[in-house]
Amino acid sequence: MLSAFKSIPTDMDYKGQKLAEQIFQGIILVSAVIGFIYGLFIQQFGWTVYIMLAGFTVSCFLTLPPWPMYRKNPLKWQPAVPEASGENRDKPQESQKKKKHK
Amino acid sequence: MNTVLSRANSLFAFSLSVMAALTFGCFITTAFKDRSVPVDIQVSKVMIKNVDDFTGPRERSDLGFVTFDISANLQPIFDWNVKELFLYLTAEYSTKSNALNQVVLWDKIVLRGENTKLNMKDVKSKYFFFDDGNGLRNESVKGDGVCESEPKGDGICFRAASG
Repeated sequence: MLSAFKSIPTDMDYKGQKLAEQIFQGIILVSAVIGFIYGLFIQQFGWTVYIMLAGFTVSCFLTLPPWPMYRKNPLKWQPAVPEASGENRDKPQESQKKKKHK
Repeated sequence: MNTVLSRANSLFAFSLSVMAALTFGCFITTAFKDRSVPVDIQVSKVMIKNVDDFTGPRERSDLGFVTFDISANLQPIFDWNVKELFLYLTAEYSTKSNALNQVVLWDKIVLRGENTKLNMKDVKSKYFFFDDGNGLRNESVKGDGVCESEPKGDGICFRAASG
């Protein structure tokens, strides 16, 4: 069961992360302002807290799961280098590492 | 912000900071308000005895018995920063040995949501009105009703009601 949870991809790309952060900050600030004004009007701080918690829940739902709108700009990775030239680069790096450890 | 836990962490921390700012705003809007309320206190019966003082050193001291009526409307004090009110009635007087004596005679806790109109008749004092010494005879005693409000934000404010 836990492996099923771990296999769900939860990452977003960078523009998606920025969008998610802006969304949740905006929602929480708006709900804080609404809650403060409403609580000031009826003189009960409990309602301010409830409205803030509602805003928190809405922003949890909108930003925690990786919706597709956060994945619209995936990173462009470089194409993979073929293996023959990869081996040539490994050997001089190993000899340099041995010299450093002495 | 790449994993769910990291997003949840920043979301929760931001909400907590905003809640702290809201609480501060709640404090700022009510901390400097004047919270005195007119209170009507009348003493209906006073009796003084001179008995052994069992609360302290074994000497005979004056013990006063006061029965009073008190009525007040506390509704204006309950704003959104007040959780409960602690009311107490003190008697102030001066004797030969002390310039100022204050003795608490009676107190009451009023929680938010309870009845805020206070109208009590023939209330006996809850606590003993002992004087250290024999200074209660022939002394005029001034009763002072004080209400202390327990707020949700910072700061405990004292506001005296005249009586």
